[in-house]
Amino acid sequence: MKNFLSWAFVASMIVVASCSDDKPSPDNPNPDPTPSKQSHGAFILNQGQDYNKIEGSLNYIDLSTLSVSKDIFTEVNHRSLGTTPQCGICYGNKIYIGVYGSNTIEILDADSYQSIKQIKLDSSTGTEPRSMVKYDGKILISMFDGYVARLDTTSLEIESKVKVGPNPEKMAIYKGKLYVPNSDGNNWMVGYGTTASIIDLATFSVESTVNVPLNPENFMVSNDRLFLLSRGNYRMVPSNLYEIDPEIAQLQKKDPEAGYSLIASATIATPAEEHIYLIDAPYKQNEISISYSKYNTKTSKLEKWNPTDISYPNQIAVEPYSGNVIVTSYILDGIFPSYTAPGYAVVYDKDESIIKKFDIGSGPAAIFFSEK
Amino acid sequence: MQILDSPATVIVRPIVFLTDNNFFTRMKRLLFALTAAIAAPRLFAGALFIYDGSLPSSSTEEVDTLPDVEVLSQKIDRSISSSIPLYKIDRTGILNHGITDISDALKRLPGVNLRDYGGAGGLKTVSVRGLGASHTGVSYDGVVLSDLRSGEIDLSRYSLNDVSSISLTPGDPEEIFIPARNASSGASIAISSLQNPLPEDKKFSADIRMKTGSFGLWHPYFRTIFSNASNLSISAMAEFTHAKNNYPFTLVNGDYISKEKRENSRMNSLHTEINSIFIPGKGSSLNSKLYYYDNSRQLPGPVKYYVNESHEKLHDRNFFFQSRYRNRLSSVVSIAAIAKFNWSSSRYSDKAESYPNGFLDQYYIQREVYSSGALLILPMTGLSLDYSADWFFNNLSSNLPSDSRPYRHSVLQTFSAKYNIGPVTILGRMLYSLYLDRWQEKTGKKGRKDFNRFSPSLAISVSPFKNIPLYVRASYKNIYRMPTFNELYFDNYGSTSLQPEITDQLNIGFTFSSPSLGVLENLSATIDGYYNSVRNKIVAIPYNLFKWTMTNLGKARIFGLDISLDSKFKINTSHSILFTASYSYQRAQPRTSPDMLDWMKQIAYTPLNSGSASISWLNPWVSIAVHTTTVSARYTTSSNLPSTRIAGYGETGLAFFHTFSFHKSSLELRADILNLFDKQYEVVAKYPMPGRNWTASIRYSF
Repeated sequence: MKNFLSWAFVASMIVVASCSDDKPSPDNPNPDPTPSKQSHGAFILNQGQDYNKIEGSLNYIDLSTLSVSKDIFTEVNHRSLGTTPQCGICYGNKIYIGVYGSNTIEILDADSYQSIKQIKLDSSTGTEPRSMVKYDGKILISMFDGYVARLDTTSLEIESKVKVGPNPEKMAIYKGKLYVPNSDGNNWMVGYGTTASIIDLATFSVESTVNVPLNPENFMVSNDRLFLLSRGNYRMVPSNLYEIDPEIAQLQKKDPEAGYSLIASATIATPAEEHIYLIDAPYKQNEISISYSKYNTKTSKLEKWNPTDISYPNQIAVEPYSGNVIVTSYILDGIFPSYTAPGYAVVYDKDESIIKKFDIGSGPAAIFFSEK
Repeated sequence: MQILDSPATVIVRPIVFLTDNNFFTRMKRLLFALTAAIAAPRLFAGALFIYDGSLPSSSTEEVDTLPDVEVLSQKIDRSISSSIPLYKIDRTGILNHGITDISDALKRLPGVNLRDYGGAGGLKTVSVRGLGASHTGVSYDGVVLSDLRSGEIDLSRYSLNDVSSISLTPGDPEEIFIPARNASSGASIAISSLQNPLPEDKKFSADIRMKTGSFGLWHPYFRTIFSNASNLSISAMAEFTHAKNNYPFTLVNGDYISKEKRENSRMNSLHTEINSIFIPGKGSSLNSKLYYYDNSRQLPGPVKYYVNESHEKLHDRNFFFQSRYRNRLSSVVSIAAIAKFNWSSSRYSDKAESYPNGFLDQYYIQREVYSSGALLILPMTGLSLDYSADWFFNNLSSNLPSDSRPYRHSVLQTFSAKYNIGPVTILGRMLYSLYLDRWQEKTGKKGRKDFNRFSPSLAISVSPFKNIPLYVRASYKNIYRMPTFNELYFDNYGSTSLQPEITDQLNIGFTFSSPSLGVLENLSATIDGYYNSVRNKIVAIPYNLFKWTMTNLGKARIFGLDISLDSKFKINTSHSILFTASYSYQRAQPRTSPDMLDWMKQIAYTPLNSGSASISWLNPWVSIAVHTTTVSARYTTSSNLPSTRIAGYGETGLAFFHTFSFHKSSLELRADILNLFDKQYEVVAKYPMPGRNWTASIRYSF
């Protein structure tokens, strides 16, 4: 404990004001990156595996000192983050974490990691948080019960919610609109979802619902282009990355299948300034196969990307200022990945060289960066 | 007037015991050492349950296999002379040792690992000697129960009220005149319900009980018997269980400790049966049973942080009709036949906005048609031969859109021989199994998969000293378990390419039984060492949250030691002390590959040490039983990750009971305190067990 406190003190000195107060403007939610700016650290949120008594945790990799602090929430608050942490984001001087199983939003001070507030979700707020984006003083949260909730970062209350399709997953903001993939994952026996909801952020209402490829999971923006990862059905329909035409709603009035085009096969994807990083690890009965690539969103070409030392990837994120890439991985248990054993994270620079490898907990679910 | 329980006829062959005082002095010392060791918790805690310590008989097969013996009498306990471990608890033992339910009875037996989700409504399954619950066959009145969907029998469905005995064999059954199916699992639990008395015994009797207890438990029971005094007796029984199960537990969350209650845990369950015995003629009998069970329960789910809400429900229904016919055609030939029709349904529902239409509703129906025939021949003294052939048909349908409507024809045949010559008994059996699976593939095609296998077993028991009731036994069994319908056909989970899981079981043991010696009325002890190996072990491999696949990748080895001790001290005519204890050591190692994290660790949820003990003082006032069960730490993961450790526990209970006997009736009062020291523990992670609680029951029979 003593060690931790001294560490926390040092860290708070380093991290001070790391989640800055400068609010991004509505039209440009991500302030322009400049070479001098770099996120001081990456938060890795682990789901754990509740039924096996493996608790979820919040971990912090300091990208300046290249050190990792594990389970920082419990260290500071002397209690569990909750059952199955799912998503998180850093905004202003606070960290927001959605805990899927416990049905809570935990709001922490970004410097001290002290919990400021725990919001218990119910039918008035939407339940089972899945993903978060930040926008104009608000945190927008997709809720698995079919809503997007809007949390005000001043009052720290969920002030409104809007109904979208079933089981929304990872959203993106593009030109003042929020794109919500309606995965319909809980309806997998019948088939997954094939729609996305487009929310006008000014009115916070669904402007249109469009058709998208099967099992949409993750909207992404890179180089002013909009992309969607759709997971398919683990059978005949593969998991692919598509580009979404911003005019999709208009186009589909004539042709309901218009407005999206196939880019590449992928099961995991993350946006960067000029690339979408892609990992393709499709489901196979008795073996695993993984391939890596990146899609250049300027030249519209697939490029080589070969991260080394990854046994079985599960999350990927690109630090927006430096372009460093973080990949989290399971460790292998025989020929298959272990979903219970603690995994690890590898930080690569832009040129695919390993900067450092960190041990982290079980089941990483989200990677997000400290602000500034 | 304990007409319901008393053995009408007990056939016991007299045996002359030796009177070598030195020998018994040595044995007493050994007993002392054992007792001392048992007192040291964790290291040695256990339970040897050889209730009903009837005198061992070296050749009971002839007598036992007489078709009418089972009707006429309770079976002779062969725990001691059996060539395969056999642990049995009868009705008297259930009362005298303060046993509260079937899972309590089983967890006191060596080698048993009970999985219990807590409370009256919590699923309870039993695995034996590290093999996994799907290797445990459970028979109810001689007919094997089936759940092809999950492969596991939930023992919380069977109440102790109607049970006359429970026995466990961690290997091949010792009896040979049984259906082939009864020899097709790695371990067998036999539940025998109260038998109807013989038609000529009584015209009418009834048994009324009421049990109540903590957490809103109400459990009325009624049974009545009519007989026409010549060849027919009919009994009808019904019991109803209502339990709120809203027991408190302590939730530790870092530095914060809170008192919580299990919510959404209510259960209502009905069990009713009509049983009949018809005696068509001398040496023959026809036992029939009509059974209905209906259990509607809420499921509290695992404990979560910051939220205590669950809307899960489970509604199980089971109807069956079974008939068993036995006829002793001559002193040489006997035949037996079984016919059964079984229908069971299970409906799981959950409510959450995130489900399509806010509701999850999964409805499964299983049907079974079962027939069995057996022929027993006793060609010469000491030799008995049996041929049994079973055919059963099972299917599964559901309301799931991905339902592949699987069905299975199973044809099982056994040829068994048992030979008894002097001090040696040899039992050999060959099981030939044939399975034909058919299902609807997604493409519309019909899926087909056939499987057949020979499974041998061999057992030998020797009583090396003429005058010492000591037996040495050794047995080998090769058996398999078929993949369940879930493992094969459940969408996004099952794999139709699965093969059966294969096991080899080896056992070597010693048993000993002593006759009366001063205050020691009887003492029996067993010690068995075993080695089990599992090949083609069925393992689930997740791809992600939604997509799993089943493989035959696993291998495991289990080494273990089971010790049991049962004794009775008779102080005088009205006071006696019973002491039983059991201890199990189970080293269950995953042996799939040295590259795997679980290589040579301990299989998940398998304690290294477990045991139980009970002491009872039977007296004319209020008899008391104190019992304790101890289980060492377990891991939820076979890779034994430190954070997945579940602490060991010891649980102690007290029972007080007294029976008033009147001219033609009896009144039994009983009170129990369970988990006396209010120990908070978990058998399954995130499912806390009840703390201190009580039950009280009253029973009147005439």
